[in-house]
Amino acid sequence: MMNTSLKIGRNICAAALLGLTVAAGGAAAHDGATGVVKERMDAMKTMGGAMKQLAAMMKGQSPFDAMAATQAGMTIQGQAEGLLKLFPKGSDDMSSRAKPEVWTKWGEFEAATAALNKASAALAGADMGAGKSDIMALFAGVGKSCKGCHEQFRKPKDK
Amino acid sequence: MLMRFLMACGLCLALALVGVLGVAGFIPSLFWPDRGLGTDGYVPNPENGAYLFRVGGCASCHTAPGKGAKPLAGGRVLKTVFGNISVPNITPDREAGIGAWSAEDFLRAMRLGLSPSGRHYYPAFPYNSYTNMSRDDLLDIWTHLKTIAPVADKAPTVTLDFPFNIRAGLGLWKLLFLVEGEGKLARNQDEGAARGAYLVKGPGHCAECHTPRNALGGWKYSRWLSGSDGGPNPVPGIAPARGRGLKGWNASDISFALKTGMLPDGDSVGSEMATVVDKNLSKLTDEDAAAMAAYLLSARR
Ligand code: HEC
Ligand code: HEC
Ligand code: HEC
Repeated sequence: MMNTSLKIGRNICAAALLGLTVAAGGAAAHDGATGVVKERMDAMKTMGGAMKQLAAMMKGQSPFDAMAATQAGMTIQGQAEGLLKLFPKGSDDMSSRAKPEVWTKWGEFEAATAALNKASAALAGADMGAGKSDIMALFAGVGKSCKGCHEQFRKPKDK
Repeated sequence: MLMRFLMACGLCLALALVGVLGVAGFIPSLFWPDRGLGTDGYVPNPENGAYLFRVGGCASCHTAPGKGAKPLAGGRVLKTVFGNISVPNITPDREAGIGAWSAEDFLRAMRLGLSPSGRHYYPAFPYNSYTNMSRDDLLDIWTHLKTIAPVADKAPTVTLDFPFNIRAGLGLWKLLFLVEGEGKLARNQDEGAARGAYLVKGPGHCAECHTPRNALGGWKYSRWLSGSDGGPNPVPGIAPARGRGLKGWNASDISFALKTGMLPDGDSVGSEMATVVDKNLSKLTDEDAAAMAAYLLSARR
C-alpha cells in the first residue's frame, strides 16, 4: 500500500520534473539561445529593426527622411562588419536556424556577408540630396542581400 | 524514412487496387475524358502568357540551377517523397522538348497530369494547382512557351525505385486527390479576393508547399495553407483568418512581403520562399499582390 502510493508520488514528481524540463526545452528552442548564437540573433534583429524603419518609409507609412535612411544604412553596416565572427565553427545548436552549409560552404557565406556589407555601405553613404526613389533602390539592394543569404543559409521557420 | 516507408506501403496497396478498380492507370481516357480541352474561340494574349509564366514559376523548376543553364531545358532533379524526379526540357525543340505537342496536349498535361501518350505525371509537377487555371490563361502560357529558344539537349532522366517507377499507380493517386478544373474556386468571395484565390490556388501553386499532406501525399484540405505539421522540412502557415500563420499581418504587410520578401518585423524570407519571391512573386502587379493578400486574409478554401 505504502509502496504504491510512494510510487505514484514519485511518478507525479517525475512528471512534474519532466513537465518543467519540457517547458524549459521548449523555451530554449529559440528565445533561450545563449552565447554567440544569441549574439548573432540580436545582431540580425538590430538589422531587422533598421529594415523595418526603411520599409515604413518605402510604403509611405512614415515620411521619407534621407538622413534617417542613411543612418539606418549605417546601423546595418555596423552589424555586417562583425557578422562573420558570430558564426564560429560548431555554433549550430538546437536553438539556431543556421544551416550546416554556413560552415560547409564558408567561402559562399563570406561572399554573402560581403554583399551585405557593400549594399549597406552604399545606403549609408548615399548622397543626402538623393531623392526617395534613389534611396529606396539602395534599400531594396540591402533587402536583396538579406534574402539572398537567408535563401541559402537559413532553415525555414515553422508555423 | 518512415514517411517513405508509409508511402511505399500506400502505393503498394494502390498498385494492388489498380488491378481491381484502377484501370485508371492504364486506360486514362476512361477516367479523364478530354473535357473542355479544345481551343475554340481562343484569342492569344502573349503578354498575359509571359506574365503568368513568371508568376507560375515554370522556369524555377524547368531551368537547371547555376549560371549558363539554358532556360527551360530541364535537368534539375527534385527530391520528393516519391524519390528523385527529373524535370524535363519544355523548350519548343521537337525531339528533346515539347515542340511536337499540340495545344490540346499541353492542356491535358497542365489540367489532367497526362502526357500525350497517356502516361501519368508525378505530382511533383504541380498540375494539381495548374488545373485550377482557366483554359485561356493556360493557352496564353503555351503561346509564350513557343517563343522560347529551342534547346536540343534531352534532360537526363532519373529512374525511381519500385514501386514509384510504376506510373500506373499514379492513376489511382489522381483518382483520390486530383480535383480537376475550376470547380471549387472562389465561392462567396468579392472580386478582389476571387482573383487572389485564383492566383494562390492556380498559377501561384502556394498550396504545394504551404498545405500539409496526408501519408499518401494528398492535401489535407481541412488544413488548407496551414503550414507543415512539423517534420524535417518546416513551412509556416499562411492562413491568418484561421489563426494559422501571419499573426497580426495586414493586407499591405502581405502584399509587400510577396513582392519584396520583406516581413513586417524587418526580417526577410529565406530558403525556398526566397526563390519563389525572386523568380515568381516579385513580378506580380500591385493589383494582383493586393488580391492575393485579400484572399489569404479571408482564407476560405
Ligand atoms: C551572410 C548571411 C546573412 C545575411 C547577409 C543576413 N542574414 Fe539574417 N540570418 C542569417 C542566419 C544564418 C540566420 C539564422 C541565425 C541562427 O538562428 O543562428 C539569420 C537570422 C535572422 C533573423 C532571425 C533572428 C532570430 O531572432 O532568430 C532576422 C530577423 C534576420 N536574420 C534579419 C536579417 C536582415 C534584416 C538582414 C539584412 C539587413 C540579414 N538578416 C542579413 C544569415 C544572414
Ligand atoms: C515544382 C517544380 C515545377 C514547376 C514549378 C513546374 N513544373 Fe513542369 N514539370 C515538373 C516535373 C518534375 C515534371 C516531370 C513530371 C514527371 O516526369 O512525371 C514536369 C513536367 C512538365 C511538362 C511535361 C513535359 C514532358 O516532356 O512530358 C510540361 C509541359 C510542364 N511541366 C510545363 C510546366 C509549366 C508550363 C509550368 C509553369 C506554369 C511548370 N511546368 C512548372 C516540375 C515543375
Ligand atoms: C517551394 C515551396 C513554397 C512555395 C511554392 C510557396 N512558399 Fe511561401 N514559404 C515557403 C517557406 C519554406 C517559407 C519559410 C521561409 C523562411 O522561413 O525563411 C515560406 C514563407 C512564406 C511567407 C512568410 C511567412 C512568415 O510567417 O514569415 C509568406 C507570406 C508566404 N510564404 C506566402 C506564399 C504564397 C502566397 C505563395 C504562393 C504564391 C507561396 N508562399 C508559395 C515555401 C513556399
